[in-house]
Amino acid sequence: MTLARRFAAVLSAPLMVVFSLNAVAADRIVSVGGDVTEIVYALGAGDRLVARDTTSTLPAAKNLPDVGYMRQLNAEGILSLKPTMVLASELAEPSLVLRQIADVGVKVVPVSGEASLDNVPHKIQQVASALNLEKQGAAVTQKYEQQLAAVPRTPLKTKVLFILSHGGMTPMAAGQDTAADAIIKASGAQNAMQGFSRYRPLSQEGVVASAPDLVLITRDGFKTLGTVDKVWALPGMALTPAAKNKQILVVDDMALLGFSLETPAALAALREAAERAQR
Amino acid sequence: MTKVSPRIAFSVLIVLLLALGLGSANLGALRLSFHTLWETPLDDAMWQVWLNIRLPRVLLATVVGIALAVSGAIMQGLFRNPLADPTLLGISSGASLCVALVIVMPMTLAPTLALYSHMLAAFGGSLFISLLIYGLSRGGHGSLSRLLLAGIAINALCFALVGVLSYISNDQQLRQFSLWSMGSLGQAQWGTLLAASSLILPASIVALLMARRLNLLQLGDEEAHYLGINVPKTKRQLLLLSAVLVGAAVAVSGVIGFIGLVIPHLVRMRLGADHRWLLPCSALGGACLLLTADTLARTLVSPAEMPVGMLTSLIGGPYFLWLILRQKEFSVG
Amino acid sequence: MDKQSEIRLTPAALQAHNISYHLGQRRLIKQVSLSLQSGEMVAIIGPNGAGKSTLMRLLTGFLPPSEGLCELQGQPLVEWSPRQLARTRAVMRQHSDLAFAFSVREVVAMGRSPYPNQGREGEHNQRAVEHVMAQTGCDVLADRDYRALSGGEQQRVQLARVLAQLWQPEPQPRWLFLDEPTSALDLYHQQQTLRLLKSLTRSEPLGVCCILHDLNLAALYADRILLLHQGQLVAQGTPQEVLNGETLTRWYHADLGVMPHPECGEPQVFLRR
Repeated sequence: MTLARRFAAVLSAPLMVVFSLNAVAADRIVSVGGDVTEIVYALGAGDRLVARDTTSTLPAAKNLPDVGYMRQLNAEGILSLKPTMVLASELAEPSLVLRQIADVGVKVVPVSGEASLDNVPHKIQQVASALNLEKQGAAVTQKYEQQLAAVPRTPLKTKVLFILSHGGMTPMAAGQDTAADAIIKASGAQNAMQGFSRYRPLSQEGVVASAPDLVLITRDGFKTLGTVDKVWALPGMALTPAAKNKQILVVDDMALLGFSLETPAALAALREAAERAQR
Repeated sequence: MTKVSPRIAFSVLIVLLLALGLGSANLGALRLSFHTLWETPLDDAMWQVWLNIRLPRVLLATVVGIALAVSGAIMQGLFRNPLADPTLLGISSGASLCVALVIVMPMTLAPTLALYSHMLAAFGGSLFISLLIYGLSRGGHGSLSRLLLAGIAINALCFALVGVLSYISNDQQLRQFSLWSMGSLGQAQWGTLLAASSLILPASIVALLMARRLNLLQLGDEEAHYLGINVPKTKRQLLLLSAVLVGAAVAVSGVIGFIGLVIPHLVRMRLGADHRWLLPCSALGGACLLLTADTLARTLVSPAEMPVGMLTSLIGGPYFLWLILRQKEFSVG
Repeated sequence: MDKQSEIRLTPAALQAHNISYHLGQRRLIKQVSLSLQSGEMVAIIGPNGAGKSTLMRLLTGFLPPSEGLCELQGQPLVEWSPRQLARTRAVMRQHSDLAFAFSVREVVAMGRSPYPNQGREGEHNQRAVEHVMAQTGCDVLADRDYRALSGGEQQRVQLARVLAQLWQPEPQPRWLFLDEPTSALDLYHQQQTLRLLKSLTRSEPLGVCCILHDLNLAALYADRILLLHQGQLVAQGTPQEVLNGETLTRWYHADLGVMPHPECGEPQVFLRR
């Protein structure tokens, strides 16, 4: 065939070619999404991973190459690791890139991105079936559901205020329609902030009026503030019951807001703190 | 600053562009050199990657670089100001706003639309603002100061609205938007490349043909009129060209700053202000800069990649500053 | 004394037939009729705000008259193609700023833009540029940055540009309009420029119409003078006819006198102390 004909054939042919590896038969898996990576490790398949994304902050995955932020992937980067499979959270972007990777012949498995406690078993099942680890998947699911069920859900009068803090940003309080709100409700406690959705900056009056009994904050968020006293120094905080009784709970980010395998443990910790703080 | 002969500069730039293009095509996260390609059979996946992922990207960098530089040169000539740049009239702000909307607002789209949602949104935003600007330019006798003020207002408004959207967005959406607004060529593929080129290349060629008229506009509106130019019509056409170039570039690659402002400026410093050379040399210069920046963007932190707009400023800024400080006589542009 | 203008029906003329120009409520030009022959030098004078620049813009086709008609060589100005018009009449304005660094040669060469640039025409363009630069004394400035020149030098370059615009291998009737072409020039260059313009009207079918502030220069070089006051043509004629004490005092309100030039006899105006 002439060169031109060959080029045309290459461009137009359906791309069902297995990506050629350097004679390595083992799995090479790239995991995109912190929750996905966590599930892979929980299933015992961590050794099959060759790379992960920036949101996969699991300590075990730290030494793996980082293919970039989940929402700004690039095709060649992922392909440079010569993966046989890419496990990608549905929240990963741009989808074009994932399609390009699939077109080259790499298997791309989407993992549900819905943020809810009930969706985690579904995620586990998706990853497990992709990795042919259904048995382990069932075990992990069972453990998760047991942990979740062990947390009492009876309503508590405790009012919990979740503070979102990032460097360079004024600290915000979580209203309705947030992951934090869902977690607080799941623990049986109440969100001190009512009447607005998403996040709002802490205002002196708003905080005092909401009278939280317990302050909830993520580990990274707490780091940006520095010390507990800095938390109480935020607008309006000093006059709250939480401050008076020094009730504050710091939880890992992924666990608290990521609806991951660690979430039941975080939920249990929240429940316990809420019960303690109950007047 | 010694002036270089335009012909020589043009030839050098062409050679430089070809060299950079070949170099870029050779480099990447995936080790795919020409040597490797030559060895592998054509139906191998390696060729797939090179042809469908790397090659379009190299070409897209070239095309977007051309678009931004030519658009910047047009704006500087139109406004007779070396500090003008493609974002002056608010086109990229409009695109940013629409992209922020798509990122933050929950919407369900057909699967194919969802794939290109950001690009379509950006293009839609650019188109809307372009039509607005064009409409404004028809009323009034082609007064540019009116357009400038409108551009300032549009920029401010879009900035504010994007701020509102950032306020209600979650972390991931915020980060995604900020990455988009720093520009990236990571979604290059033949479809988008052809779509963008079908707008950028003809517009650039038309701009080159209008170089003489751009020169005459420098003498002044009235003077250009007496030399036989239809000044309002010429200005409108130039505005439209600039808008098309910026709109197409921003749609496929996000906001890549710096190239539109500095490349024409640099070229003018060395070659003089004659647009018949300024436009083509700026086009080549813009392509070279963006190719270099993008190659670095996708290899420096491989397998991740940096936003290319960040790199164009990091590379270009200090160099430009150095050039300015070196200049003995103060002549802007 | 006002004179009725005669409209001569020769083709080699730019004629204004009763033109007026309104801007909103204001009437800037009121029923002006005049005729500019190729081969004569006409000066438009008048106090500030008389509408001289506006009149020039009407005569050159930049503004359309609200009433009346301007014709060039028998054809209404609006019917001329912009390119043909650009080859037949050129305009030099008082100030011309450039934002970018063009060389003097490049600026002058811009004057040739209404002409094609291939082959023989290209040679003509080059000849034109060299010729006019020599004529105006710009050849020494050829490669300098226009923006670095003094005001007077810039005016000379602009003059070269408009002369280049009108240059043709076989002379044809053309018109040159100048708005205060000598305002920034020193004495030497004032004289050189006006002498050049006058000689061109004699040696070629070039009609020159310039707005001049300096009445004495107008008297020395112009064949005819048009006196404009508040949009109306209040006097027209030779310098002898227009520049007399009575007319000038009436329209300029200044305390002045007129006496004949010691060498050529043209009226020269002096201010009383």
